[in-house]
Amino acid sequence: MWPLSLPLAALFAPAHGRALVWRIVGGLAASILLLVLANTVLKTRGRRALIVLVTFLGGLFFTLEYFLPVSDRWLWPAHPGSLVLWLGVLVGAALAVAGMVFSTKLWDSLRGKASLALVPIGIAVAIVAYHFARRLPARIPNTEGAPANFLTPWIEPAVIVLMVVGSFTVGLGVHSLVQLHGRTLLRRRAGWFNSLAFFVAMIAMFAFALLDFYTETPPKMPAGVLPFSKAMNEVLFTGIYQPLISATFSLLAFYIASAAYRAFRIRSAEAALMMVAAFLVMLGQVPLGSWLTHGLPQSGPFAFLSFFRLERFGEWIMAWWNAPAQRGILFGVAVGALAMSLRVWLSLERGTFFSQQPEASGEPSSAESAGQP
Amino acid sequence: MSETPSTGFWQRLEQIPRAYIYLLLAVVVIWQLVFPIRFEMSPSPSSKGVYDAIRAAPADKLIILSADWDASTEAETGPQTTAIMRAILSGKKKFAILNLVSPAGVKLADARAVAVAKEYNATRGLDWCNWGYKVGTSNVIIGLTKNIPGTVKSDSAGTPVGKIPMMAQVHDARDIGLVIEISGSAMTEYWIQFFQGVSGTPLANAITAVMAPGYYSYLDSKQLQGMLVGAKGAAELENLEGRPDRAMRIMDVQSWAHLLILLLVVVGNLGYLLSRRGNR
Amino acid sequence: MGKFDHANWLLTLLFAVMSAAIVASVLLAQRGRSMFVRRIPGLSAMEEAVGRATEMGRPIYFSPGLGSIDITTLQALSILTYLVRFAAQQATRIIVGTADPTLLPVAEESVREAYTSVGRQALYRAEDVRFVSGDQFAYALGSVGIMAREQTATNFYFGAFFAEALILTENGRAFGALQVAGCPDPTQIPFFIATCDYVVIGDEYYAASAYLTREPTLTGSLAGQDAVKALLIALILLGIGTVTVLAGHAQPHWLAKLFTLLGV
Repeated sequence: MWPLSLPLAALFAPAHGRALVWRIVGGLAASILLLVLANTVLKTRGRRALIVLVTFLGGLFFTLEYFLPVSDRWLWPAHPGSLVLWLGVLVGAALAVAGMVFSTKLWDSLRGKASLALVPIGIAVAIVAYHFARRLPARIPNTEGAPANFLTPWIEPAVIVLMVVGSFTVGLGVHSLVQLHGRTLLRRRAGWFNSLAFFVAMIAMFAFALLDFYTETPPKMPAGVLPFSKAMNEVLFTGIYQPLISATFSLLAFYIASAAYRAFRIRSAEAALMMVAAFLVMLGQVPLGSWLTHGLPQSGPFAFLSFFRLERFGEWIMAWWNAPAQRGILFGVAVGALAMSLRVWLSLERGTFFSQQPEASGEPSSAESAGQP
Repeated sequence: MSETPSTGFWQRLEQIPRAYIYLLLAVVVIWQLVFPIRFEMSPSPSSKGVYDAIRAAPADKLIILSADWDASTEAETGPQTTAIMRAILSGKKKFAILNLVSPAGVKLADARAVAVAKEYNATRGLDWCNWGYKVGTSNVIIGLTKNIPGTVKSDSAGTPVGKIPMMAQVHDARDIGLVIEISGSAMTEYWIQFFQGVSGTPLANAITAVMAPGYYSYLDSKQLQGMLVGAKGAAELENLEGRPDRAMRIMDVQSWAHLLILLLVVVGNLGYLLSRRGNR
Repeated sequence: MGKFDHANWLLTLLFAVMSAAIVASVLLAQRGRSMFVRRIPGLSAMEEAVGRATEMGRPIYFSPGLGSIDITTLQALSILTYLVRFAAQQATRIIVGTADPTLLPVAEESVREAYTSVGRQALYRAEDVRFVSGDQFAYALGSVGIMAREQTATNFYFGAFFAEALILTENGRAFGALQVAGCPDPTQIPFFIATCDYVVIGDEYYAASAYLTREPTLTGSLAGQDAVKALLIALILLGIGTVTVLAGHAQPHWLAKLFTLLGV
């Protein structure tokens, strides 16, 4: 057990009875108070600054936990020298970032160009300091056994907090649906019977699922006979809901047929090549395709012809042509996701969540100007 | 966007109404279900990889079946699950079912396990068990690497793990011989990242056919030992086990459905090319 | 096999270099350096798509996919915000159907702010941003129902889509709507291409906000992404060359020893 886990254990220790009630009430009260304070005390700019700060800290926590070095030997730098060296890592990183920022901002001047040298110097300082920090002895062993850093024990509580916050929004979804369909039903708008069906289905599933959960099957019940609530839950869930889901999924087969017939036209050489590949792969996926080329020998002097068996050829196309293309797309998507994540984390993503940024020429953006009469 | 009706033969060939296509497909499916024409199929390397991985799993270690599917993908993942369970029990090995995605899928996988266990005289609690649905996805997988009883706690019926005889010697990832991820969603990446990559335990998967193209990279890099692709993969595993069953019946239908789609594409292209030639 | 629950030093270095390239490019763009962005047909067609709905006097339907508040869905909201601003100027209604209740308040706020930013807050209707269903196929069928009842002229699909994609798009097509789709995951792209009029593929999806708004921060980020891709290509070529060199050697090559020392 290491020192920082003590407040963690105290904060998230399970509570029971009256202590649990007080915790829930206290948590709700504190949340409401914070929200009211945030709304009344903070102006728009202050609220945005708070959002930026919370976004950054949240992202920083998970990023640091992932990137900070781990060890199965130690969780906290215990040797005094290692603290200094860890400081060296931070200083090196800061030098690198500062060098990057100054060089881009002051690129036109000699000072700006010279500050670019700080980038490799800072990275080198960080790497050397880290290399020596790892060699220093630990005092506190990691009793959990798995490699970890000092933030790792906080991950699970953080994820649980996020899950709890997220689960509050389930009620929002139900509220939205009830409001929409309730309005349609009460005002007898077109399609009101669909809204009635929604309410009947929702109430029935909810009621029988709850009853099923709290009903125990009597021990003397004959085999295959269920109490009414369990039987109704079975009918609704296994008898209606699951077949409906399966039937909806099966619609895809028909849609694929009509979409393929309508869309696959040989309009160019590339389309023709794609069509041939699609034919070969589709036939290779089914026994009919295997049968068409089953005569190609798999042994003997002409065994090389077995490569052209449709099932093997189709798999070759998938593994050697399709997979690299997919990897290429995934590389691009991953880089795009990284860029988007950085923009969201550093609150650089303007336009969606914040006011729009003026264009580089200094003129207002088109959306802002469009809003004027 | 909407189809403009045309009068020429080739134009009509290019614009067969949707309803006729659906009818044709329905007729082919029903015909093959009632009067199947079966063709033999040879197993692909990816399906053979799953079979070999199950055979190679140590008998004293547990196999985890992460059955992360529900009714929506049951047409493909259901037969895959059954074929995998048969392959495991025929090799006298033990498995545990787990679900990380959909509580609805727990009962579906359980029903298949009960049916297969009856064929091999396997007993729940001794040869197989169902850990049920666990919330937390990556946290659960990370927890399984270090402490399986602490992570699982109880099975789907609420029985504490300590009271399940087959779980007595199962503590962490070192007691797991193989993980097979069965799903229609992108769960394999979690297992690769948090279990296989950390502990080195062999991993295979069984996925819907539409997701297969994205996973050949993992087969290539040996992060996956094998992969069952849709109903075809399930049929190949059934054939390897010598027990063609539901998946082979699905393939009987799929053969002719694929042929119909290919014929429709050819007809559509004929109509397109010849109507263009006629217009010149 | 490496351990993936935490980064090793190489991954940390790679992340630092990639992030530095992107941030540096953003800072350069903010200083006024112009960046070229090639034409992306799917994104160029958005205004045409909105215009079609305006001419026909019918609403637009926007689906942000099945995702919760993640990067893919945040990008979808970014595109939605742009569309709402554009449509609001033409008094065209946009209906948004979400599949995740966590996303609902975020989507409501984004849409409301978008209307307000162009001075058309009176056009905002709370019931136009709605939670449809958390179940995949129920969401698809609910969305199809909305398209059918509201007779949408244009449908936009941007976000994380799975098997329900074809149900949405094939029905939208049957209703005669113009459809524009974008999804970073390649799995559903074939179905979108077969049924939609314009499709945004792969990392074009993450370029959308830069392409549409041309804001310096976003175009700079796009240029930074290209620099990172160039770096990755260089690393791949280096890897191919290294494996090729090492392939024929029975004795440990100095390159192999170096990589072992570096922990690669």
